[in-house]
Amino acid sequence: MPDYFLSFVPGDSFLHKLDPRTKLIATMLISILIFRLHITGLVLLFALFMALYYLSSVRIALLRNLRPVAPFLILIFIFQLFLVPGNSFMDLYGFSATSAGFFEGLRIVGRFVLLIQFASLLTATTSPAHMTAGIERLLRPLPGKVLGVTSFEIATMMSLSIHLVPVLNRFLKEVYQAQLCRGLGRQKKLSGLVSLAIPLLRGAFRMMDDIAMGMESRCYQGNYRTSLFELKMNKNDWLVLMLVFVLLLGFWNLNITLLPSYQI
Amino acid sequence: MHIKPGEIVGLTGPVGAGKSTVLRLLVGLLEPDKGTVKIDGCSSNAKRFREMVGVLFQHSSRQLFEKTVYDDIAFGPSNFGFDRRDIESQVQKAVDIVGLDESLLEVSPFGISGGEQKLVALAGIIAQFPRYMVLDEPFAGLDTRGKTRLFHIIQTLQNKGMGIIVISHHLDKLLEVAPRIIYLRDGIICFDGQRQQYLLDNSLPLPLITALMKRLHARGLPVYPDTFTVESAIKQLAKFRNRRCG
Repeated sequence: MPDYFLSFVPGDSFLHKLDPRTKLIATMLISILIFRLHITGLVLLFALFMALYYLSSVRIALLRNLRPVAPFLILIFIFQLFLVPGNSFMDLYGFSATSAGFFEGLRIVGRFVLLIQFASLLTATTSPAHMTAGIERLLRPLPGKVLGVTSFEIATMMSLSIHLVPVLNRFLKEVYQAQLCRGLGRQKKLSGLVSLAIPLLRGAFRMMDDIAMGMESRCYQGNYRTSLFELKMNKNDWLVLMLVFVLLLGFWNLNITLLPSYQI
Repeated sequence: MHIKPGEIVGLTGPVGAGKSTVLRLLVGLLEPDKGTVKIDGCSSNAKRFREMVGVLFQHSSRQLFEKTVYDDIAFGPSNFGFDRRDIESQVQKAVDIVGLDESLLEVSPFGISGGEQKLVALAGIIAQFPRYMVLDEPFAGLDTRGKTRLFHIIQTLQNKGMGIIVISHHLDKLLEVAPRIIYLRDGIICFDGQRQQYLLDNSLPLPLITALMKRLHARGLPVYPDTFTVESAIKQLAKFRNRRCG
C-alpha cells in the first residue's frame, strides 16, 4: 500500500506494461469526457474505473486519495446544494436546499472524484521515469525555439524535481531536528513554521544553484539525448487508444433525462 | 560512556561508526534500544535533555532563519521561556564568548561569511547556557584562524564548567582540544582514555604528524613519539637540526 498521495506502485499488470504515452493520452481523453457527462455517465465511468483498478492489480488507497481534497469537495457540494435555484425540499437558516442543487453538487463532486481516481491510477501504474519520458515524447512536436524551452528541458526539470523530493524531505528533517534542539515547539507556533520554511527554501535554492552549475560545467545543453527508457508503442497501446476514442465518441452525448426538470 | 561536567571529550571514528547516533541520543531525538541515557541523574526525557544539552549540528549555518543575527541568537533562549532582560544579557554573554563583532548583530545572518554563520549558530546554542554541549564537526569549513578561534571558545566554555563533546574527523585538531578521546567503530567503543595513551596505541588511526614522529623515533632519532601538533614537531626537529649542524 503506497503511503503518499499519487505515488507509483511497482507491478507487472496490463496497465503497467502499456506505453506511458498511451496512458497519458487516455487519461486526458477520459478527463475531457468526465466534464461532458452527467451523473449516469459518471456512474458508468466509475464502473470502468473499478474494472481498470482490478485489472491493474495495484491496491491504491482509494479513499485516502480523496482526503487532501475532501474539505473542498464538501464545500462545493454545500454551495451547489443551497445556491442552485429549483424546488426546495429543506429550509435551513433561510437558505433552501434544492433537488436540482443536490444533483448538480453530486455531479460536480463526482467529476472531481473520478478525475482524481483516474489520475491516481495513471501515477500508480507509471514510474516517474517512464512518465517523464512519455511527457517528453508527447511534447516533442512543440516549437521549442519559439517557446524558449524544449521538451527535453522540461523532461529534465520534471525528473530532477521528482528525484529531489526525498532529498528535500531529509533536509527538512535535519533542520527540524536542529530547531527542536533550540527549543522549537515550546512557544510561538507560527515562528516555528517560519524557522523551518526559511532554512528549507534557502537550502533548496542553494542546492538547485549547485545542481545547475554542476550540470552546466558538464556541458548540459538541453537537446536530444538517448534515454534509458526508449518508448515503443505496440499493438495493445493502439488498441487501448482506439477503445478510449470509441468511448469518448459514444459517450459524448450521453444524457439521460429521468427527472422532468433536471438532466442527470 | 560517562562524561563529567567541565570535561572535554573528543569523539571520533570512521564514517558510519555511530557518532551522530550518540549525538541524537543525547538530545532525545532518538530513544535507545538498549541501555539508558542519563544526564545529571535524570533519564530519557527529551524536553529536559534539550534544555541541558546544546547541540551544534554539522551544517549549523543551515538552521539560521531570523531577520537579524541578534534575533537568531535569541531564538533559543526565548523558546525556553526566559524574560526579555535575561535574554538580552544571555545573548550579550554568548556574543562575548564567541567574540562576534557587535556590528554584525543588526545585519541579516545570510549576508555574512560561512565562518561567521557558524559562530552565530554557536552563539545561539551558547545563549541557552546548557550544561553540556555537543559539537558535531565544528572544524569543518573553517580556516586556520577560525579553527584557532573555535579552540579558544571551547576552552572558555570548559572553564565555565560545561561538559563538551567534540565530534570530529580532524584528528589533529581533536587531539589538540580534547584531553580525553573516545574512538567508535561500528557502534562499539574501541578506545576510551587519555590523549597520550591514544597516541601510543598503534591499532588506532593517528594524525600524519604523529605517524611521522613515531617513525623517526623508531629509526632512533631523539623525538617524542606522541607528538601531535605540527608546532611541537617543528620545535623538536629544529633542535635536532641545530645539533647536527653544530
